[in-house]
Amino acid sequence: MKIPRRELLGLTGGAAVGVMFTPVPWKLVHDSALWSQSWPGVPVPMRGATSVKYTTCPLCPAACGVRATCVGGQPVQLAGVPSHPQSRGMLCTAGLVGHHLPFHAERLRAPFRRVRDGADVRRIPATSDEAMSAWKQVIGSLKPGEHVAILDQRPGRAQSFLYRRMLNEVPQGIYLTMSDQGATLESVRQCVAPSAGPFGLDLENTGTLLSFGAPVVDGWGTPGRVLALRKQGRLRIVQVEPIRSRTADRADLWVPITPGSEVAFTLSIAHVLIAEKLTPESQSPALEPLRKMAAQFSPEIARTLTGIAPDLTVAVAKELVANGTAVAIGGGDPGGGPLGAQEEAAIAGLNLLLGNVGRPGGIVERRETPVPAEWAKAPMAPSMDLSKVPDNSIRALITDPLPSGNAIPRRLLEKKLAQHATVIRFSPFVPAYGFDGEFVIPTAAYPNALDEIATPFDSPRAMFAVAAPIQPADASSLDPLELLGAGKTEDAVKARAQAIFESGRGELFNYASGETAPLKSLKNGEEFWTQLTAGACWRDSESTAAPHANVRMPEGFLNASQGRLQRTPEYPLALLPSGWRAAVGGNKLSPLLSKVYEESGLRDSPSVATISPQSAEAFHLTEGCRAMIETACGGAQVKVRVDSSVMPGVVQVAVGPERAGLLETCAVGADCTWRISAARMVKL
Amino acid sequence: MNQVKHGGIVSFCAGCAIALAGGWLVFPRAIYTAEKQPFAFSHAAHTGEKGGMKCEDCHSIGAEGRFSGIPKLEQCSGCHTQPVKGSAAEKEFIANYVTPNREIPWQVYSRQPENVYFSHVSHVKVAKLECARCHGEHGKSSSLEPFQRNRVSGYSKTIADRHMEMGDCERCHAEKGLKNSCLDCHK
Repeated sequence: MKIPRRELLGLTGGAAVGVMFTPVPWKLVHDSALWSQSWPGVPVPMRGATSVKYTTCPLCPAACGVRATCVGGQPVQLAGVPSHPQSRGMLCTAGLVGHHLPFHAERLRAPFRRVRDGADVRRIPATSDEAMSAWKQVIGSLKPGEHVAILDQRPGRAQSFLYRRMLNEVPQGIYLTMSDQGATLESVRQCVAPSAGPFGLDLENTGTLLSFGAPVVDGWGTPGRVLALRKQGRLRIVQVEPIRSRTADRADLWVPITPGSEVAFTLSIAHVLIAEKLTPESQSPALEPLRKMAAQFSPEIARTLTGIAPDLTVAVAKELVANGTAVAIGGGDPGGGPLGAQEEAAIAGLNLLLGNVGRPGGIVERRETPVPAEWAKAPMAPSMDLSKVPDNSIRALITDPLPSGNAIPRRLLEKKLAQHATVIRFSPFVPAYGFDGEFVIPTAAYPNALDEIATPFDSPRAMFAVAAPIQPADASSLDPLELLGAGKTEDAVKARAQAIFESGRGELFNYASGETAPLKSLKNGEEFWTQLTAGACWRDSESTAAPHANVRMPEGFLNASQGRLQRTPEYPLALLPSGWRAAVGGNKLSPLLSKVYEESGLRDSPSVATISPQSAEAFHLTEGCRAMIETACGGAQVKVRVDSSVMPGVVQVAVGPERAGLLETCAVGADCTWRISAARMVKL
Repeated sequence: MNQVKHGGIVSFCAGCAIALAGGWLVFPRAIYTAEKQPFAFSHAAHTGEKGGMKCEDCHSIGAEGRFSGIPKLEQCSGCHTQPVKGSAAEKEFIANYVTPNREIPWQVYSRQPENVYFSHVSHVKVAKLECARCHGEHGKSSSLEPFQRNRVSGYSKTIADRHMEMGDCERCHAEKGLKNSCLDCHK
């Protein structure tokens, strides 16, 4: 039977229309969505008995204790460890979902190499042997003034010692670190006792914390410590920042400041403290360089740079002496980078003037964590801050996989690398940006990686913990130390644990029981190691070091500043990058947290630029419109948010997660800071 | 010509009618496969006045708060090493599973997707919900209905029929004034 074409079309059309009035399409869409949950590659939690394991989070230097509930051995829920001496039971949002990281879409499973192919950069499979032979080849062909280097963003670990020992054997080998959020403490140490041990903070007895932009409640030191003190009403916070950030919002006082004028404001506070003789140290001869500088910055004069009313400056100065010991800290922002050497020197000077060094509630010296005698005696390669390395001098660079939680702009590394340098990056994930010819080698991802957790910079006592794997790492993960022929990470961390045990110092806090026992009560080093890997942290006994009497502020340590920001008619705005420690640098976030950024708006999304209503009007920008942020270094497209939480003339952008492009628009200065760039905005 | 014109409308209507009939009458059945459970288990024989058992006697919540789910064979064997009532189903059960010590391959009507963690202890012990609130009168059934598996999603038809989908959870939480956070259920 022949069906006419018209009738066939009619039948088909009728069926198509009719089917739309049945459950068929809607049910199929619904069921397909459910089916997609069972795609191959979607992680399926194991079934089995519920158990609890403990570890320490390595995602940033905060050293938070972690309680992992596991089903069939696989972690399904992470939480803080109550009464942990450092993190006080808290865990940040990224830490709470850290167990998703081994399943991250960008988890690296095999080594690869980036190769330029015309305008594109392709990834080609590579081997770790190829990477190591490239490293050795560079070592054999170094010219004078050229270096090979290892960048370790978490110095002070067992691995750090072995890197330094290995680099010492390499001609022109240098061990690199980066300025971290404890830069103020290091600046104070330079003035007080350069040869002393590291400095920490006795925050539990601090009255007022004056923070110059450090995100002290959610991304500085160990936030759980600050939050616990705030909850008890024991710590006042004065936040000096151009943006009403999360910390500024929760502070007792927010002081909006013109970006880049921190030195002037610090000196104007010092001016008030000295002029009104508010501190006993105000007449100390050791602080003569500070007095000289402060004399030039009366609150009235400083106002032209800082935009801060003289009355407010006086109020801040009086707050610092009215509430017990006060401490001033800098350290910078995880996304915005370090404050800068001059700012840190000025803040260090303010601390010396407040007389808080070595006092209860102030900046205190702590002892170093013990190391095996063999390491202590071994010659080590020099340690150098990345900013101090001559530009274009690094011929080969290896980066350690453990992130500091601070951003590293590509521009900064490029500045230090020689042309056609060999870059080898160890990372659990595909890095957000790359270099032509670089090797990327997979390492284990938290919580399946073993690592040492060194003392957080703000801790008043030395600490030691182990990020013990909750599950075995996958077979593709490699150990950087082993590849470099410097030993094995586990052996190195275990050797350090043995050295700590042999010192007999301090106590061990057990995560499961919540009890603390003297180290001497343990039978042997093996028992110490077993407890550490099952969930425990060692804390040194309290330091009995006397307050340092030899305060000395060297001439030239501090220079007067006219401010960092150089606005021009072409670029009239100040672009301030900022970031959350868990979402910048080498860190990746669980995809589940996209809701925190993109839907809930609890964190600034990297695609959003926040600008004040006044600036929005000046640039003809409206809420929600698309715009280009342009600096002398490039541009990036953003969505505009108009909000009075930022000062007029300022545009704030988050530089993580991902979206490395936004960080690339920030200019890296001669002192390797990138926290302020002159910018403009153009509506699209 | 008129015949051809009318023929187009008729065929359109016919197509429409076929689609409507297929969509409403055939498709809802065809989308599911029906799989028989391993043997005819009667909840009614165990619970109520006949058996005197409660739901939690077999589907217990352990001391650590973990829900046992469907009982293991070991638990059934505690009473059924020998026939108790001597029904055909019981004899079949003993012969096929208890004697060879083989776990029963039950098809679970209420199995949720792998990305969901449902806490029985929170709902039963804390919120004091009755089992029947989600599972219906399953505990009083005298036979097990066939397990109807969705051919596309792979999940049981019971999840939709008994209101155990995400929207149902959200609705119930809203009724009780609870806020819904993704992390409450999705880990």
